[in-house]
Amino acid sequence: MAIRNFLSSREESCKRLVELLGRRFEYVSVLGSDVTTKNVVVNRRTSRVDTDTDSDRGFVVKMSSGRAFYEYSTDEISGDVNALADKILTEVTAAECLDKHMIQSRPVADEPLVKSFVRENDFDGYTDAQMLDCCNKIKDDILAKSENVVNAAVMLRLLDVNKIFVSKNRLLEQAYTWVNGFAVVNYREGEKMVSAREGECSHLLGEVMNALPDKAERLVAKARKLVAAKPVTPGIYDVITDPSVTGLLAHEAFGHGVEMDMFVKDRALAASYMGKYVASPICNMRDGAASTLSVASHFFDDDGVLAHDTQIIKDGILVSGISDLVSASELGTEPTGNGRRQDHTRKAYSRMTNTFFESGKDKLEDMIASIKHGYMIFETNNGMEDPKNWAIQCVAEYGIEIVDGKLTDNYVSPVVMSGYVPDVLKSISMISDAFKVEGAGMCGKGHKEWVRVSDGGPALKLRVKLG
Amino acid sequence: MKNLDIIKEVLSNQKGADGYSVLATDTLSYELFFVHGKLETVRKSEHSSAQASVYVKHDGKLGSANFGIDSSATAQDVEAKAAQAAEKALMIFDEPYELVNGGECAGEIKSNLCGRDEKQIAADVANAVMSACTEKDCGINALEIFVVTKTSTVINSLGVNKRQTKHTVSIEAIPTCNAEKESVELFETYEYGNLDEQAVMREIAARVQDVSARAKAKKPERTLDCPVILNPYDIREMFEEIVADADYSRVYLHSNLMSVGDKWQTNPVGDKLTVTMRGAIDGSPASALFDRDGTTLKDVVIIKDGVLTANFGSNRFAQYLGKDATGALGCINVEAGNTPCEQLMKEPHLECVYLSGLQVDLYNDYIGGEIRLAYYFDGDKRIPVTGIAMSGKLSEVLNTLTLSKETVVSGAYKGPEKIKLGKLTIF
Repeated sequence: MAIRNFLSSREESCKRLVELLGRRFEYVSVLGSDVTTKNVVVNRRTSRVDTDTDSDRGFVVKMSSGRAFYEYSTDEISGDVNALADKILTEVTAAECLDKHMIQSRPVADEPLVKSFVRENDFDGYTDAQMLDCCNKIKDDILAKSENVVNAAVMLRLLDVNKIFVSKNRLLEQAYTWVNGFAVVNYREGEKMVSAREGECSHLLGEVMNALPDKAERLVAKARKLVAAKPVTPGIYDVITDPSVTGLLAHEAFGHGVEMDMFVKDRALAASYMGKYVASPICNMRDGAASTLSVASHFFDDDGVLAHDTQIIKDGILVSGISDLVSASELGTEPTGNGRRQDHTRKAYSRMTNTFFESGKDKLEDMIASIKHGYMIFETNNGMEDPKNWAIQCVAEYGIEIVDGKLTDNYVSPVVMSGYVPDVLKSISMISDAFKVEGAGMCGKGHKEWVRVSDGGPALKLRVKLG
Repeated sequence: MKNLDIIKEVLSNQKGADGYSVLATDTLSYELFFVHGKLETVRKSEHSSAQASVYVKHDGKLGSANFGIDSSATAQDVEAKAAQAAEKALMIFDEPYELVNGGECAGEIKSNLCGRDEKQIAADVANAVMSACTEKDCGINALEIFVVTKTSTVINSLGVNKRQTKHTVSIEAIPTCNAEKESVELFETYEYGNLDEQAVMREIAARVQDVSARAKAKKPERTLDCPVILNPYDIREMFEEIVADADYSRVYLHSNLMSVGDKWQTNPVGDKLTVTMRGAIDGSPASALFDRDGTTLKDVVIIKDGVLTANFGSNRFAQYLGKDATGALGCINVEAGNTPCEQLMKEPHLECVYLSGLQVDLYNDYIGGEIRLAYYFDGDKRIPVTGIAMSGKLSEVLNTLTLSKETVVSGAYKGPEKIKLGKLTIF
């Protein structure tokens, strides 16, 4: 497998543009993206196959000369590159009144490197008909399990990423894939309707298509429980998080909090907590495209920085943040391979990749047995960060009540977990020896700039507010 | 592939296809990013793309397949994708429906941004935001400004040819207060279809006062038991969840909670809700003339006096249900109440300024969220509070609404500027 023709055929244009704009700017780079997608979706009454309806194909030119950074996003870079360079110099300017209000930035390191990265995939081994057949069989299986199932949706989402990065000293290219499979059920009993989901993900389509059918039984069984779920009585409880909710906690508590563009903006309290305890001493947390294999395991980021494996919390102490090129330049630090864009039309920010707590030594059954009254909570719904003031909100799909050290049959839903980040993380008293990272997440910066992320870890025991 | 005529020709000649539709978009975006009042990044983005669907009648059913066309695609690329789509459509067995039949229009969504220079707009917004921050120890730590012009064109095989251009300005601002013990911030986003720099200044100035209050905010010493007042952003979030349940597609897939005739308010002791889905609201960035199928948008009252009176939605699902296609309406108009804001806020209450995110779960009959800044009015003093959360049963809360007389446009929402809700537990 190699880089597709769209990018390889434009490599020379990228180099030429870097050379031309390099006469005006100290640093120039071009990121080329060719991301293709396929979505196969079946419902009870409709189905569809979408090819490249959320693809990303185009280029970002980035320039700097010790003051502000300039970017120009375009769909095409071939043709008259001289004219394009002139156009960029004309279009990417600010009103004159802003000229005296620009940042001063440090020179951008542009270490020489020429390298090609490829992760093999199996996409060519499966036809659209096979994917549709797989989804339809699972859908029919779910519908057959109960008359209370009012709708079943099954989907396969394929992502095929090609990128090149060209600067004066670097020429990088990468190719990798990711697949998410989901099964969702709407289940009604009397007046009450609930929704439940199961998922599977891998860089290999075959793995997802093999594993997803086995989820149908569990999905409907879960829906049966959820339809009887009651709201949790607001209060502070001993709680065990499943790996999905553990990942959400990592993501919201100290993932966003250590995105170092937030340090530049004085938007992250974490900047003043480097080297200090922010969590229980048994906690270790990491982020990085190279930390594990999941949806955000690129080989280089959208700034042309190679993938890292960054330890964020070590034995409860905050030891590092994660950064993109611009924030590292402003802070005088090394970028960590976390510069990511929603697509080629958007700016790069410091973003998480694969974020997780490391596993511990406790057995899950011992953790449950240690709780007199509390909940084990499951499956991420959504969350919201507050890096400046360390408030946190994590919403789980459901919880199961624990009484006298045993899981009961009492389900609660939805479950909103909130608190003050250090209080929550310092309350972690047990960490399971299991480990799972889920690559199905989408993460926004504030309310926009959506990128694919994974998060997870082991089960955690903590004390926190539920409502 | 920027030439829509070539796409049209290719799709018209596609063997085996009984129809097609295309949505093409051209987006120009000029963007400024500030850190501590200094310009960090200047961006310009020019992007074109198209999404096409090919339809094939077979076996008494209708098959379709969708594909994207990027602006670098050649006519041969489109031909290849269209041929593949026609084959894929044979594997899809949906109930038949007719595409939108004919109609041409070309227009701009009404906006005072039309014809203005994008760089000057961005500079004016930057100046408005920065100059609004006059509170002691306060500043705008980060500011992002997006000046966007988006043109959407829909064509199909039954003669639809419609084009609309929309101008918007989006702002993300982070007012920050560096108090003696702690530095605190608020996260604010705005999107405007019309730009009023003075209104931007007033809005930011109010948020700067709020962030100053957040620096003084404390967790209440006792449990609060009082009505809650939501701000326009969270009111919008609540209604976005409620109206989504009335979409034709949810009804067709049996995923809707409420059917026509069902009561959103079963026993209202406060104001009754009347909600109209609209195609356009003056100043709303969600305004449109037509949807992605080319259906001209038609306003519809979906909730009248607390009762669901109609559904709404796109051409396809309207036909499946035997209803009128209203189009995918994006604007929510909630009828105002009779209570002036001043009167609504006279009695003790908790006025939520900033939530982590309002959680509304229709299936679980839940509304709640973590409160990062609110003002508790005890009947005498207005006290900034933080570190608390609220939750309740949505069905019970909706029976207790008091809607303000004053209205506001916030994103896709136009309606009461403030809404008072009871039956929420604050903890």
